[in-house]
Amino acid sequence: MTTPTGPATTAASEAPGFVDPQVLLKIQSLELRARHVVEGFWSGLNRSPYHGFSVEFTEYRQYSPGDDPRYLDWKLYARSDRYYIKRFEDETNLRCLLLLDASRSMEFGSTGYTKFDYARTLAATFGYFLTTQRDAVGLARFSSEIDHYLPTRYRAGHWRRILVALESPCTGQTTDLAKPLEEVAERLNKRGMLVLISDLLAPLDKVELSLGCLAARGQEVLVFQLLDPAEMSFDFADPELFLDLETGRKLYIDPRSVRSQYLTRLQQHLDAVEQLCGRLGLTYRRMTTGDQLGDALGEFLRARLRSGDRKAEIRGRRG
Amino acid sequence: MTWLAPLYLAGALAVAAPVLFHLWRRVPRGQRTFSTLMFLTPSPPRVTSLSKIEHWLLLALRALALALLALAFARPVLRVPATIPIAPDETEFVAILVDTSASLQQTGLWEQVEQKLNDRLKKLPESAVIGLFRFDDPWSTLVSFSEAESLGSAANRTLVQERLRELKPTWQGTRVGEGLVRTAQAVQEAQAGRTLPCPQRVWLVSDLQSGSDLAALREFDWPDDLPVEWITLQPKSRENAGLQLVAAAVDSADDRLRVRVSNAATSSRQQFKLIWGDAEATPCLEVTVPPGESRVVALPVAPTIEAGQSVLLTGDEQPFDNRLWLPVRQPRQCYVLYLGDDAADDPKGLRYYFERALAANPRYEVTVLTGNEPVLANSKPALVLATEASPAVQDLLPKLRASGTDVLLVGRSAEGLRSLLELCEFPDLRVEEAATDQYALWSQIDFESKWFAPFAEAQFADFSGIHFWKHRRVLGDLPPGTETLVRFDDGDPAVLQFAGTATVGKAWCFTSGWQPKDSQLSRSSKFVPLMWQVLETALGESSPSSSQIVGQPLRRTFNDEHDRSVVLPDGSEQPWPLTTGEFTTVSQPGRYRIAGVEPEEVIAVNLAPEESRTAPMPLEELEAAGIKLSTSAARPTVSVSPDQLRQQQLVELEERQQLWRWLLLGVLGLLILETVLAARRGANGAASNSEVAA
Repeated sequence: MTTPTGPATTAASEAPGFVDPQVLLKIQSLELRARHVVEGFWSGLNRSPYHGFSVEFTEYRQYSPGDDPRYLDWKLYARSDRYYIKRFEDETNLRCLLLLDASRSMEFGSTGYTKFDYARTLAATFGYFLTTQRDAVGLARFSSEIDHYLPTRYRAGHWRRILVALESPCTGQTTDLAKPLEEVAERLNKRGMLVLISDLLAPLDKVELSLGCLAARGQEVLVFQLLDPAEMSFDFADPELFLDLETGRKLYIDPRSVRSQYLTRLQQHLDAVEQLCGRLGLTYRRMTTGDQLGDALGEFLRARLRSGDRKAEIRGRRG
Repeated sequence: MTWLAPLYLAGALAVAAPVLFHLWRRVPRGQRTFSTLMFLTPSPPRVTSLSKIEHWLLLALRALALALLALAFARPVLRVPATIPIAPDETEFVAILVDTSASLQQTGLWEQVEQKLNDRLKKLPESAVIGLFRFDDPWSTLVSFSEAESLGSAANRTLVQERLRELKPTWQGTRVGEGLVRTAQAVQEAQAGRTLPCPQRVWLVSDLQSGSDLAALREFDWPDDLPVEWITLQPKSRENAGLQLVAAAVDSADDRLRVRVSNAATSSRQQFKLIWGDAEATPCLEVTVPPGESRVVALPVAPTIEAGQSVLLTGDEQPFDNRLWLPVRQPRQCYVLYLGDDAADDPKGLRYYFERALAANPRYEVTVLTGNEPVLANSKPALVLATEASPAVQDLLPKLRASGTDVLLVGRSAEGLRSLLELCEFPDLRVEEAATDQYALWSQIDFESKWFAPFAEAQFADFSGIHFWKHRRVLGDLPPGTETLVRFDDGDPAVLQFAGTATVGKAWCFTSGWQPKDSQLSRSSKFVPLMWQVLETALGESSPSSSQIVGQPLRRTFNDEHDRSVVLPDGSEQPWPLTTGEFTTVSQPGRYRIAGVEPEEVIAVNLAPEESRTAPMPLEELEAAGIKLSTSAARPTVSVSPDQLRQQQLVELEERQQLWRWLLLGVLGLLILETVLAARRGANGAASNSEVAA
């Protein structure tokens, strides 16, 4: 197994050759955008970071009557004069399920494109990256419930189906993380990686239980919280009627008078999300739609590294 | 004080309007969508000078004017201790509903209608308001209650009697249910707006034969206070036999018309004779039908065309339903073009079976043309059967297909079929002989397609008895829109349907022929009906019915806009309505001819079969439908509730007091005062502004 080395991650964060998201999101084709980000990312790497993540795990166990003699290790017997059974853990490629929030709040955008545009480009980037590596990718698009579900697969035509699902417009209403995540947890029967891309602008009381459930089932969970720069700064000038995209509620707001209160509350919410992820052992990354997509890909790779390290650590403990 | 129309008091709420308009918070014009409002709290609106009330007096005056207006509309009444005597209202609504259906054509029935009604009308009090309605298949008003109320009592009666004299029984069916429901609705409409209800009743003048339709009554809640008096019409004789046309059975082997002779249970006779037309000299059949039963008999072939127009039942006392007009069986002319080399009498060929399958059918007269015969302008083939790609076919087939003709391709060899497909502009398809072990069977049949829909029933759906010794495989990408109607059990398509366009006709392809060398299809019982389905699918439409009942409109669709006319049974001629496509003046039985079409179309129109069921309907059926039947001719009483009585008293009191006039005067006064005050304030404001400016 090739262990990824330091220079790879450093190169990722420096992100040479990345295109400004403003320019990137003007490209019509989702596949082209994804290819652009991934190829831009590769071009900046000195060493390939994407080999050898597949988990191969071997263990020896003393033979006991009833075991299949086909798995006896005769070389070890020659060396040790003991019967040992060779155990393999499936050497599978990574299984990664992309969870994409398609609720109405993702339709907000102040930079010429919406959070949803950015999020699906991000999802397509991850998907394209994994597909080129022959890893299995799946997609679950959700709002209050899952509207598209493509199981994790590596097979011809699957990438095309993922692109089609990503390209369909937002149809959902409110963000309700609890129900779709529970549904995903029920559907996943093998361990793998889960990448949640959402603005997470929803009450968090139920989400804690659902995310914990995924993590407890052996899933490596990455949470990308995606916000618009305008949501972070709230620098609107005039009093206006603000319309909630999800609920349709209207409020008369004077931004100058409520800005400080808004920023405080938002920060509290973001801190709560980060703490929640830390507590559950999930990898959390907050992004705005002005950030380079390559940075997110770097974060994704780092998480995979950590995942590999953790497995190696487990193996070391067992050894 | 009390109010006659207290609901209008709610109008006093309009007082709030000036205040609200004054204080109306200005909604910001701009609107911004935002991802979530969960971190935001609403900002309080800024108070401006607009939100303050400055002219209290004007506001009070306007509010008071609105309040007084609402009070005036509510019609205030000052209560007085003495009870006001209510003028008795003697008005009574009498709705006369006369049955004019075909069963009233029975001997001696219609004379009773006028006589019995005139007797009854004489006994009615002067105050009665009489409405006159008739029903058979549609219901109509002859004298409405509003018309009757506007006339005096005497004029009302005269008008009713005059309209009655003009009335004649028709040949339509009896929809007594609908007649009663709509009459009850007319009475209820007449009662609407009255504080105290008047007595009301319906006189139903009908023979109420058992064939009457009561369906409409089941969905109507008959009012309790509307009694129905049935003025009985008794025919002189209860004996009646009727004659109806029986629809031809699907599996009937011959082309003979069948009629049903039914005899009433109250009859004493059972021997009847059918004769052609009017002439006693041309007997047709003798039938024995016991009372209460019916018999279906097949008519023999009529001696002449004139005699065959109708058949008359003799030996019955009631003649109104004894004549049956017979439809004209005009087989539809159609042409099929055969393109191939088979001789007409060669039992090894495809043509031999195809021609015989399409021979002799009462609905169609099929002429099979061959490629050698010239195709005439008026004999455009509905379907082309092509089996060989001979030079003549190569020339003709693309032209026919381009002219929109449907094509049936049956190849006797792989090469032959490929050439035919190529001629039909499917050059990408390859054909090869399939390697069949012994025989193949049809296995996946699309029973939803037009061809196989008649075989969808379980008893007809078994095609497994037909063996196909040889078949061909069509390879390559099928054109879009192609459907596989049948597949062989080895998965190869057996029948393909290529979609047509607006100009190019459809094409079907049999990958195995029906001749004995290829299969057993031509010798199976499925072959003939299948070929007829093929032809009917190519023709595109089924022929319209040539027999219907009185009252049903004649419906035809013509592709051109030539003037056509309908010749009615009495010889008069009316133009065919081009815009609606249906001719509705079908009010008498007989033969209707649509002139201007080639060939001329004749439609036989007869009485509804229910009209022959003249036995009286049990009255329990009417009562079960919710009708309140009354046997006494006395004026019905009306129960008036204390509330209705009190309301009537209030109406009378209010008419005497008329307080609303004073209130309206008050409103006018207030408005004048408000105008003067507002003008003065405006003048003061302008003066102060000009001073400031100066």
